[in-house]
Amino acid sequence: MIRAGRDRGVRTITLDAPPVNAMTPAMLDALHDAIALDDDARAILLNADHTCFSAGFDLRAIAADADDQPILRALLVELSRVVGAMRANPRPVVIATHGAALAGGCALLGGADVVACSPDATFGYPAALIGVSPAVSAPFLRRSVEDGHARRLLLDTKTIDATEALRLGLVHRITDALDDEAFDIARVLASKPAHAVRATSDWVATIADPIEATIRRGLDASIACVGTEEARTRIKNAARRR
Amino acid sequence: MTDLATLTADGPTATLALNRPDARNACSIELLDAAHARLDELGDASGVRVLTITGTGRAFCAGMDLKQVIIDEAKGGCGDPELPRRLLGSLGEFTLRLRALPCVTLAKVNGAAIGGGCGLACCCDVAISHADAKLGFPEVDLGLCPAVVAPWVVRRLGAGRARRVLLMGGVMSGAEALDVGIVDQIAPDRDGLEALADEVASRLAKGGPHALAATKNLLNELDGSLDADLIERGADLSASVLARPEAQEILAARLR
Repeated sequence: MIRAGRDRGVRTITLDAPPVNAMTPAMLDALHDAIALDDDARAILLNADHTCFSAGFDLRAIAADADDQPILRALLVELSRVVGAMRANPRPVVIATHGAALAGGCALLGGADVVACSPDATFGYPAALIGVSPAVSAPFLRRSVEDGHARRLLLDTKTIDATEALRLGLVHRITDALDDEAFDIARVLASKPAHAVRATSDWVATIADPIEATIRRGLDASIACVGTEEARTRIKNAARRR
Repeated sequence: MTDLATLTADGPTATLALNRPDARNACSIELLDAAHARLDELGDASGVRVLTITGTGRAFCAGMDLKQVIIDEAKGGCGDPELPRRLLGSLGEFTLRLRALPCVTLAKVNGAAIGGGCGLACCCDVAISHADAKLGFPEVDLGLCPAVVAPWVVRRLGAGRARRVLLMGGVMSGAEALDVGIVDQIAPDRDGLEALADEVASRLAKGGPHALAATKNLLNELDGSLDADLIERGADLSASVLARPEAQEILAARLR
């Protein structure tokens, strides 16, 4: 599900769950551990194999869930934990995304310091279509893009393309040579004096990052949708259409 | 001694120029003292609606004076371990005073705006430059933390872009600075900046002074701009990172 490697100070973590890197609790747990690993890597690069970065939660798994939706609940908790671990990491985190990064897949972007994408990348939070609030992402997203854009992205289920994502500030670079350029960005970050990078990252977090209570409220707002009639019905219908 | 900062007023518009062209207008404690003194004088010049901040000569402001942030005298530094903190504190206070002015501040980035210099531009209400100017925050490359100006960068760019710009270090062109939002408008080249600055300043000066002051005041309240404690903590942090041996080594190598 998750592969990790090391090259010149950069820890590369790759989502590897074909065909669309759909998220299961086990996958997010493995991703969390790969990010939180405390070794001498100086930067983290998170990318993905297969047709897209990630289509979000595994719809089939949550459609087959029990009535009170324990899998969906676990997914939301794990997702918040993963993004929190990215934010708290002393190493700068670069994300390279291609194809779709939707819902939970898009939420991962909230944990990155720099995001690069290929021209075919798309982004969005269509979670409301399956009766789930993307509120868990809101505290992080509101620090990446401005409030007006964050509202639109979280409330409108329409996805946006790479150019639009660049304009909003959700991504920082669009490139045809995604693998090479994203690795170069991570290398540049890894090569800088570690103490200065750490102090600067922590200080920006002090000025602007969401506090623990806000993160918790976002998660609670998403969890409040779990087990509702609306969520169960919509998830089953969506899984049938696939 | 020549004035290290000059103030010229012309009706509703005034210009504060950092005036140390041989050092690319780098912030020394003396230059900041002069800049503070010019703001004191401006305080009496009621009727100024737009204050343009710029640099004399080719540069806007090259950031901190290297010799005053290197501590070891044998390495060409100031020999005073307290001086960098005072310097950073003075810069921070200057940015707070600029932000609190009732008139609109316009950064006319005529050339290099590096580190603290780029922070000054971010602190202004409106910032303009030209395509060939060099702007940016190379602090992390020098083992430093741009903590004093980071609050202004976060407010101007938003936290996401600020995080990327401050962590990636380096410098960018005026055109890139426009894309990322450090400046609001650019002239195609250095020569075109004068006309653009005149145009923007006279347009801004058309606003009613009370309306402008009330709007600035509200904006400052909404984004917590006048939080002096944050700037003080930033100066503490910046000074402590700066005093580390690895940062001092890199700075001394730059001076050689």
